[in-house]
Amino acid sequence: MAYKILIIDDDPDIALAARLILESAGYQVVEARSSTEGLEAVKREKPNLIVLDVMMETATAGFQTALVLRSPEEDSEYKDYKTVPIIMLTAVHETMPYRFAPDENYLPVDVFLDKPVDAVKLLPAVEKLLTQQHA
Amino acid sequence: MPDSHPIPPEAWSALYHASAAFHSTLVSAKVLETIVEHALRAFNADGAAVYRLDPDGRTLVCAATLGACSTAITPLDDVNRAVLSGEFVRIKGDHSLACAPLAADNFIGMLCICPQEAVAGTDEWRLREFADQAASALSHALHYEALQKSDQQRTEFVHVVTHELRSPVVGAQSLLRVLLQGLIGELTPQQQDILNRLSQRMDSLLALINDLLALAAARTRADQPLERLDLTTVARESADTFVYDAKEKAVALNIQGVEHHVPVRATHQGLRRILDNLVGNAVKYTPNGGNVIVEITRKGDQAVIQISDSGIGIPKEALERIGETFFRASNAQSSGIIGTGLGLATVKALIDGFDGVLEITSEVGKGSTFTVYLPLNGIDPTPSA
Repeated sequence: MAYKILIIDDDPDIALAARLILESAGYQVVEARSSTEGLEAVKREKPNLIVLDVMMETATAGFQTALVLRSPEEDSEYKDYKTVPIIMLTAVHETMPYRFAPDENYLPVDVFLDKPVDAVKLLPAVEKLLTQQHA
Repeated sequence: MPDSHPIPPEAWSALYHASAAFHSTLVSAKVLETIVEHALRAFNADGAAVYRLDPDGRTLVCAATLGACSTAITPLDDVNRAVLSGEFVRIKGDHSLACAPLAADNFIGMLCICPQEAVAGTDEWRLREFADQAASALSHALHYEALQKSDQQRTEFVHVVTHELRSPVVGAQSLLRVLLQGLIGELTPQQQDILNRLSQRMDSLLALINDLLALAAARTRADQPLERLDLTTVARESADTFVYDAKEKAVALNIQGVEHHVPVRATHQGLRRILDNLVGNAVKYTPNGGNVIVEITRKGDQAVIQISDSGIGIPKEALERIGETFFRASNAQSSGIIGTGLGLATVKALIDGFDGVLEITSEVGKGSTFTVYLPLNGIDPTPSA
C-alpha cells in the first residue's frame, strides 16, 4: 500500500506542486490549509509523513504545529503521532531575524527544505525519512 | 533667579535629585510617575499631576496624578489657555493650585501641584525650574520611544514584505518546475523552451526580492542583538556552500587559517551573508579552472577575512562605485552572469553595522581581493585543534 503524506500549507500553489511531485512518485496525498486543519487531519488520516509550511495563520504556525505533534507530555492527544517524520517547507530561511535550523530541543522537525518546492530535493528527503521510519 | 528670594540649599539639592531621577529612564510612563512623585515631595503638596498636550495640540489630557487636591486639577479653560501660552498659572483662594508649562523643544504639557500654601516668589521659580527639568526628561523619553517604534515598524514591514512578495513567486516557480521536470506529462521542445525562459525570469525576480530584503534587513537590524561568533566556523560553513558550484567550474576553492577560533561580534545571519556574498561572487566571477582563496588572519585587534580570486576583476573607474545600490561594473554586466547589484551594498551595510571596514583591490583580467576587517571580540583562550 502506498505511503500517505499529509501536506499542511495555506498556499494552494505550493500544495498543488508538492502534491503533483509526490503523486508522480506513487505516494498518496492529503492536504490541509491551516495548522488547525492539519492537526485534525493528522488524527483522521494517520499520515506516514507530514510536509509542513512555516508561515500560515501566524509567522510561526508551522513551528507551533510541530511542537504540538512532538509534545513530550505523556497524555498528549497526539502521542500516537510523535514519531511521524516532518519535513518543513520554508521561504524564510535567510530573511527572518532568527536563523532556522533543526534543533532537537527547540524545533522538532526532521528536515528543512527551502521553497520553491522541487522534486529533486523533496523526493529524496521523503524517501530517506520513510526508509528510516519503516526500516 | 529672583534676587529678593534667596534659594535655600535644600531646594537646590531637591531640584538636582529630582532632575537626576527624571533622566534615569527613557520609558515615558516611568518619567511621568517620577515627576509627580518628586513634585509632591519637593513642594510638600497635597496632590500633583502632569497633563500632556494631545496630538491635536488643543487639549490637555491627564497623564499622571498622585495624591489628591481639594481644588480639582482639571485642565480648566482659563488654565488651559494660560498654560498653552507658556504662562505660569496660579489660583489663589481657599485652595491653591499652581501650574507650570512643560516645554522642551515645543510645549508638551503642564505640571500642576496643589500646595498646602499658596505658591509665590521662590516657589514659583522652583516650580518653573522643576518643570523645565521634567520637560527635558519627558521629551527625551518620548523621542526615544518614537524612534524605537519606527525601527520596529520598519522591521515588521520587512518581514511582511518577505512573505507577501516572495510567496507568489515561490508558488509560481514551484508549479513551473513540476511542468519542466515532466512530472505531469512530456513537453514539446518549444513548450520546454518557453517554460525554461519563464523559470529563469522567476529565478531573477526571486534573486532581486531576496537581495532587496537582505539589504533592507541589513540596514534595519533593529531586533537582532550582536553575539560573539567564531569567524572561522562561519567562514567554513559559507565555503562549504560553494564547494559544489566551484567544482562544477573546476575552480579550486581553498580556505586557510581556520585552525584557531577568531571571535568577532556580529549576527550569525549577517556574518554569513557577508561571507556568502563575497565567496559566492568570487566563485561566480572566476572563469573555469581558476582559483579562490578564503583566508582568515588576525592583525592587531582586528579579525581579517581575505577573499582572493583569479576572476574577471573590476575596472579601476568602477572600484569606487562598488557597493552602491544597483551598481554593477561594466564587465560584470557584459559577462552574462546574473546579478542585481545589491549584494555588495548589503555587504557594506552589514560590515558598517559590525563596526568593520571593507577594502577592495582588483585588476581587470587578473582577479580581485576583498578584505574585511572586523574588531576582534577578545582573545579566545581555547583555540580549536
